[in-house]
Amino acid sequence: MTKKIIQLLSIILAICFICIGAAGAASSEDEAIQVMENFAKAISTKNSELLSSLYWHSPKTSYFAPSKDGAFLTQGWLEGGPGVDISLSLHHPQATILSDNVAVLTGYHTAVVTDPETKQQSTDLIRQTLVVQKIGGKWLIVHEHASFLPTK
Amino acid sequence: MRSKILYGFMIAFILCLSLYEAPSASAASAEEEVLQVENNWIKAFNAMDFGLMSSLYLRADKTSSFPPNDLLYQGWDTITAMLKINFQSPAGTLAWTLHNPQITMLPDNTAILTGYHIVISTDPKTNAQTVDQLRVTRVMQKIDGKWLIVHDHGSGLPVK
Repeated sequence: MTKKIIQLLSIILAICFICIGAAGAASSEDEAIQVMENFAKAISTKNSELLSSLYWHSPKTSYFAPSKDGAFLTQGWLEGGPGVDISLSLHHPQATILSDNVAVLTGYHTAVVTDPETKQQSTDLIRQTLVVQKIGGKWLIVHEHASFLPTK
Repeated sequence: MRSKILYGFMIAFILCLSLYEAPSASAASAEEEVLQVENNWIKAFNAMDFGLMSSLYLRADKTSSFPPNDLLYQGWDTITAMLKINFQSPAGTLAWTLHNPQITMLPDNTAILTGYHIVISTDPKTNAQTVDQLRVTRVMQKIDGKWLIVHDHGSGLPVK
């Protein structure tokens, strides 16, 4: 009787381990997407500390910022957040895991910008690519390319 | 006898130095290989070589592309079908050049290439030319010894 209970418990334990493994694989994508979600949150709430924590603070980090007038590549981590009142909502985030340490994130942001003086609002759609690398157990942005999507 | 031993030690020392330097030499060639993919991308467009163009992308569903001013294209079939439309122009009507390419090597045989494209389009009837500038990001992965594009993002850079 005891042997049977032990056998049953062993099977349950084995199933648990398999499930944990599967959950871990799924969470790698979830963890990566969390970076994009936190990006939108940090910009919308003007949380520069959260924004800073999402990037790899390295001279290797680079970004193409969204700009209607044209913006060249920024190389190296620069402290700071958006100068304007902007609210981002993320749509269709997608993670492609390239390896244990590198992933590509894509998604769209609806950006609502409020003019500080007139309080007039304008809306834009932004396409975003984030290349994230797992450094010290945490997914960090090593490259960003964001660009406006013409709505007309 | 002593000079022969010294000579032997010197050769061994030089050999060790060469072996020590070897990894950095291969790292440099990885960057060159990544750059070659981008140069081939440009070459494919200038020569209207669709076969070359499609060979540069990873044949997988996970491959994705944000072409300038468009939504995300997912999968090799979808991306190459989208690119094929551009290959219907007569050869010589589009002239692409790459500027300021920059490569960042990442772990696990992955790399990011950033740069700018200048595209001069010539109308075959009027010979009138227009210029476009693009910002380009390519994410590449070395699979079976070959660097392939797994994601790209192109966006317009207005000509002032």
